[in-house]
Formats: sequence, structure tokens, C-alpha cells
Amino acid sequence: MKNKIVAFLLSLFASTTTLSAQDRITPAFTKSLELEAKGEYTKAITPLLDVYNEKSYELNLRLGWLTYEATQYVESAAYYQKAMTLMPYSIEAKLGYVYPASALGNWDLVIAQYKKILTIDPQNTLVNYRMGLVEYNNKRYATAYTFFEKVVNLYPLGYDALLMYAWTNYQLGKSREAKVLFGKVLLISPEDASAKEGLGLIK
Amino acid sequence: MHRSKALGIVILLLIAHPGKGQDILNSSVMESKSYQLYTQKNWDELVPYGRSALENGYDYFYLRFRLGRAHFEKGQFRIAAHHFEKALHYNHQDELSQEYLYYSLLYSNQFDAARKLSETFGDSLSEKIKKGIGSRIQFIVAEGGAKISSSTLFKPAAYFQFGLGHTLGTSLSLFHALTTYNQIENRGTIAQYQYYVQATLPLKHHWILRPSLHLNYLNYFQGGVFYPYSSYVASLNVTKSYPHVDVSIGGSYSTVLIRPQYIQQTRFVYYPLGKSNFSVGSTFYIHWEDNASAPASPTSSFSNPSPITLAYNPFVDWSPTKKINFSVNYFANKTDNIVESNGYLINNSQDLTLSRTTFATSYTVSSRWGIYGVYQFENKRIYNSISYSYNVFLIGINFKPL
Repeated sequence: MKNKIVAFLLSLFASTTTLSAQDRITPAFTKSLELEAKGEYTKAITPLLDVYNEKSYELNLRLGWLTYEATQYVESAAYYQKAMTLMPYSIEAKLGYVYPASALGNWDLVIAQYKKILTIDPQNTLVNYRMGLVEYNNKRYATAYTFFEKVVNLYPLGYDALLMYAWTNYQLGKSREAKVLFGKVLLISPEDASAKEGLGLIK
Repeated sequence: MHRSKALGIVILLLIAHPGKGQDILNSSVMESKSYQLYTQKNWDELVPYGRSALENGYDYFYLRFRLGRAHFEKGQFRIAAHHFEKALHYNHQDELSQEYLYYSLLYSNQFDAARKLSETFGDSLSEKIKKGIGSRIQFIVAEGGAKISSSTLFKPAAYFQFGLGHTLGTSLSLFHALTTYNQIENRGTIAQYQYYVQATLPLKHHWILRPSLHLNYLNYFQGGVFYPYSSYVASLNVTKSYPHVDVSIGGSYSTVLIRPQYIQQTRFVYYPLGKSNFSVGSTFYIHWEDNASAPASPTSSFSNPSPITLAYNPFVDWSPTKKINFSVNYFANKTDNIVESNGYLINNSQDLTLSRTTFATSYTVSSRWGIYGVYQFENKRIYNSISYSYNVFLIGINFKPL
């Protein structure tokens, strides 16, 4: 009974503390959003730094984005890293992290995050598409194929993946399949230069 | 009042301006400044600025690449290689970094590491640097010389060596040397034939392993009788390279004359400018004999095993231009039959080599041909009493197939 009372009092204290922190964070977020809307990214950082708590996922994620917009990529990557540590299964933090990481040229770290996302969510279309692009640009067409194929199966008429899937088929020498796929791209984008170029190469 | 205000502003400005290379407020400022210096090809400013950025905790692909390029352009290839390697930690597929790293290793004479690196290249880069990887035969050398003694007890000795360096795949290179040595002295006539082989295996993270074997056949003619005698030296050496330093440690087991012997060697090479064209360093040797073994040589003049002794070999190496090289080294020693340079040099004379001063120079005549010359002054001692010296003159040519 005594223990229950102590636990109840502690939980009350904790919720009071949380509320207090939340009370401070909310106006800071509001001010920050206003400044961001005006394009004043560096200024938008300041209100959040005034209430900064490194244990706050929300603050770290928001600061990761704002410092990225302010082209402070190293700081941005560090904030996103903290957010990822606080919420290891957060896909949004990982997707945020890849922005500064790619801006810094740290592509191995970008790919590592994409792989982690696909472990959590194997059907993630955005990441499957981006991994396909990475593999395609490195001329590993067979690997790119598997990523684009997955996206096209999920979104059969999605323009970006469909176009890249068509090109990947072409690079792998699957001309017949590529021709059909370029044709599908032209259905949804009749004047598409890339699809026309692909068809021209096959003919 | 105005004066004090102005003074205050000056003091504020002085405080607010921490100095060149340290105006890093955040990564955005640092990134744009380092990029600006890079595009301006201002390597002299980029190097301290980039170093300052690293000290402030900013470390990423583009910064490492720019620093690598700056050091590369300044001819500091060892330091450049370090930064390109770091850049590749962030983006291991970047072909430009791979290519710069390859040439940084090549230009800093780390040929084996460069060849090892080329294993990781994709098709297009492999094709591009095909010529750089070069022939399987790396070089051929031929050298000859004479040892002229200050003592009338020894006639001039004739020495000749033929050497060949070649690769076996991308992970192994071998150096072979065939040597003959002939001398008439008052104790007898020496005809000696040697074969030395050293393998070089580049490992990861700038480690290099060098096992070697030196076979020695001595035909000693004394009092109308031939005394043939064979021996060998087996050695193993491992080297770790840093941007400014090479550290090697190794050991040799020798059966040359008297008793089996053990030589432990440690070598430090310091490149103060981060360039391969100037280095100082020293090799230190610890030598001891196997006390349990019986004398084994017909020419042995020693009966008691020597205690543990130390020897050292400091040196300076300098290439004022790409074509010319000078080096000086001094060897100080207290024991018989010491083995030097990972088993390459064996002292199997009955006489003790007390010290040796070496002056060497080389000149690159063309992309294929080079010549070199060596002068040595060697102090020797017979039976712990009589001292004499040798003047050694040696010339050689080397050939590199393109």
C-alpha cells in the first residue's frame, strides 16, 4: 500500500515535469515554425535551442531538419543521430538523417540507413526506389532490378519507379520487357523524353 | 570618451577574430569556406583550415577529399593518402578518391599498397590505371664493386650482384638477388655465392609483411684444402605506415658461422614534411647467440658465445629533385656476424665490423633507366686486437620496364 502511494506520487511528479517541459517546448515550436515559414532557417533554430533537451526526440528531429535547411549539415546529422538513438525504429529520423549525410558526401552512411529502414519496413517504396537508384548509378543493374521491381509491383503505374525499371530492363538486355515498360510510362506521361529515348534505342 | 570607445571596439574586434584558420562558426561556414579555398586551388590555406575543422569535430567525405587533394597538390603524398583513405571510409565507392589514393601511394613509393588497393577498383578505374599497375617485372638491377683494405693482409675483394623485382598478382611482390663475392687474403681464398629472396605482402590498414630467406654458399680455400660451407638466414619483418612515420619490427634466425644466432630489429622512419623525398630514422638491432649449440664452422675463430649486444644504424635520405637522391647512414656494432636489413646483409667475415659509414646517391636518367653509386668506409677488427679498414666502391644500374 505504502509503495503504491509512493509510486502514485512519483508518477504525479513526473507528469508535472513533463507538462512543464511541454509547456516550454510548444511556444518554442510555434515560434520556430513561424520563422521557418519566412525562410529564416538559422533564426528558427534559436527558440528550440533555448529549450533544448538532448533527451527530446521531437527537439532533435526538428533541429536536425532546421540545421539541414540552414546548410549546417554536420550539426544536422548529429541531431538526427540523437533522434535515431532515442527512437531506434523511427523511419522518419533515418530518412531525415540521409539528407545531411548525402550533402556531406557520406554515402556509405546513407546506404547503411536505407538498409536499416528496409530491415524495419521491407516494403518501403521510397527507400526501395532510392536504393534502386544507388545501385543503378553504380551500374549494378541486377541489384537495381530487384529494388525497382518491388516498387513497381506495389505501384504498377508509379511514374518514377516505372521509368527506372524500364531502363534497368534495358541495361540488362531485356529489350522486350523494356519496350513494354517504356510504353507504360508513355501512357501516363505521353511526351516523356526519357521513355522516348529508351524506345528509340530499342528500335 | 571617443578614444576609449574606439579602443573598446578594437579590443572587441581582436577578441572576435580568433585568427586565420579558426573562423569556424558552424559547419555551414566551414563547408563554404573550405569549398571556396578548394575551388580557388588555395592549397596553402586549405590545409590549415581543414586541419582546424577536423580539430573542431567536423569530419566528412568532402572535407577529407579536399584535404587529400590539397596535400596531393603540395606533393605531400603520404598525408594525402591518409585523407583519401578517410574519405573512402565515408564513401568507399568514390572512384575519384580511389584514384587519388592510388597515385598518392604510388608517388610516396608505397607500390605494394597501391597494387593491393587496385584490387578493389571497378572495371572503369582498373582500365584507366592499367598502365600504372605496370609490368610484372618491376625492376632489374646490376651492381658491382670493390672492397679495398687498408691492411696488406687483404687483397681487394670483388663483388657483383644481379637483382630482380617482380609481382605475383596484386597481393605479392618478390625481390631476388644473386651475389658473388671473391677475395684473397693471407688466411685463405674466399669464393662466396648468395641468393636472397624477399616477399612483400601488403595487408590492410597500411601493414606490410616481409618474409625473406638468404642462402649463402662459401667456398674457403686454405692450405691447399677447400672448405665448403652452407648457411642460411630466415627473416620476418612487419611494417606499419602512418602519414609521417613508418615503424618496422622483425627478427632473423641465422646459421652463418659459429652458432645459430637471433637478431631482432626495430626501425623507425620519420618523414617530417609528409613527403617521401626527405626522411630520417634509424634501425636498432639486438643480437644474441644460441649458447647451447656447438661451433659449426670450419673457419670459426671464436669459441665463446657473445653476450647480447646492440647495434644501431641511423640514416638521412633526401631527394632534392625527382631525379636525384642522396642518403647517408652510419652503422655501429659490437658483435660478429650480425644480420642487417631483414636478412639482406649478412656479416659473415671472421672479422668484426665495428662501424660503417655509407654515402649513396642515385640518378634517374630516364623513365626506364637509373644509375647509382655507393661509397662505404668500414672499420674492422681481427681477433679483438688488430684494426683495419675497408674503402668500398660500388656502382649500379637499374632498369624499369614500362
